[in-house]
Amino acid sequence: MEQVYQFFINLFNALAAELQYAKVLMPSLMQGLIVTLKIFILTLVMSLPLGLPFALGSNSRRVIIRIPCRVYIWLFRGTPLMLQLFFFYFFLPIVTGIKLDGFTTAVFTFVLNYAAYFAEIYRGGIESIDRGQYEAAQSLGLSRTQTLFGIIIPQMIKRVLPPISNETITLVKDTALVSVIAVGELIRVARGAVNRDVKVTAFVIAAIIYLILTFVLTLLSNHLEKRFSRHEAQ
Amino acid sequence: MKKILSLALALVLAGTIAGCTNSKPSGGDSALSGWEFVEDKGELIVGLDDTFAPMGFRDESDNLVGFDIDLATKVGEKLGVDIKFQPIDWNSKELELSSKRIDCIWNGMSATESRQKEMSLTKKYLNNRIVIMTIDGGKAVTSKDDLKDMKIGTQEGSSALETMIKDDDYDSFKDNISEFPTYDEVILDMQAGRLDCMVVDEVLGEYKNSKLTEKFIVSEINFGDDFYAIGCRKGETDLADKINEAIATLIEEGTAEEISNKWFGKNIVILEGYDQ
Repeated sequence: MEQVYQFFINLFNALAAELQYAKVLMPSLMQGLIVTLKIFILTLVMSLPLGLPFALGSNSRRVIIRIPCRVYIWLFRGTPLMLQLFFFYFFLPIVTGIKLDGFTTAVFTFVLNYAAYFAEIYRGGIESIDRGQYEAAQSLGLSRTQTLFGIIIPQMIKRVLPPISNETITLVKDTALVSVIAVGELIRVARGAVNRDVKVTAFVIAAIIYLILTFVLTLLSNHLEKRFSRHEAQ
Repeated sequence: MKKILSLALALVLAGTIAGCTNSKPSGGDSALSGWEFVEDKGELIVGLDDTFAPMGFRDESDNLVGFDIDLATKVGEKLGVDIKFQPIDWNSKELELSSKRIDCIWNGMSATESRQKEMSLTKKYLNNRIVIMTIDGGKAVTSKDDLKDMKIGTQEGSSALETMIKDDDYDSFKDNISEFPTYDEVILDMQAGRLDCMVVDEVLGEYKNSKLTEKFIVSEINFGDDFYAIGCRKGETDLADKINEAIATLIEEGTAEEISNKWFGKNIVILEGYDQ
């Protein structure tokens, strides 16, 4: 009995010490979180719309539009994101003299990379719409633009929401990659604390922060999916 | 319709490209090199991995601190240029240097033979040793012969690894060595019980040990001396010479000793050239 009692005392003491240490770590981890969030939001806001022209372009009947779009998607989906970061961060200044800072490079690379993935998701969504709808729209006298933006794309958005939210969750975690170009995001800050204090607590807190972020995103995507299916028959 | 689409596409593309090019202009005249380049900009960009305690790291309030930070700041005062600390990823340090994102690597970097060839190093400025650390209560190392039956951890590309490779007995224990990205993983693997010992430079090893609750044991035998130096771009020896001069002055004034005592509790600052 005495031993059990002592065990809990020790456990609580250890927990209290960890919490005290976590409190010390928080300010710098929050700094890292802000950088992570900035990269995440900027990437999402720019790559979501940028994917659409590439999706439409890669379905274009004109070779001059289709081939560049497909090559772009092939390049950015086909190479590791880490190498793309290296390319823009190191190769660009060596060859062209354009020297972007780490954060700009990170956002720029992420936008180009994620736009390629989103383009393919959009393309899949557009192609999943029944051909009959185009014919119906044509017989009603709608133009191609009207058909695309008034009929096809609204339905596509609903269908692509699940894969988009999947990609978005991947994006949150992919931001950890930018530590290879020394941007001080969450993982890099945590690694610094682990190095300084020789304790892994910072990694555990970082993992919890990522979990909270992805949880919020999951809620958000559930909400959006419901909203976009509100006109559907029950 | 198609025209509108292609126009929209072109606009988006143009926007993206413009967005990337109109960023800040690169500082300094890139035609210059070495000390002239640094003097012209008025700042020396020091590249360091800001997660490398006790040489350069961030304290709990996110300030850059460490032995190299203090020393570099003083050197900047002597040279009359601003010191700008640029965080880098240690594995990309050569690329950082050649792409002129930084002017020198100053971050507890050992003056290994390969680096003497790849960069213009300053003189050795810190005297260090490569030591073997074991778990308390685990297998002890009393001679290099013991390493035959032990699992050894070290950091990839480290001076500790390079020293082991040069060792006469290397062949007898080379299959036991595991290389990790940083010593933090080595320590974790020691604690996990997969490794019997780690080979590390003393400055770093002692720092880590001071933070651990269950201390590692420093073995009686070691792999000999290890020296730190500052790495400038290959061929930019004039910049290295300038830094040498500044450190020499700091040693004379006693400032260097002060900084060393502050971080290591003893004076291990030196200024020595290389055996040719």
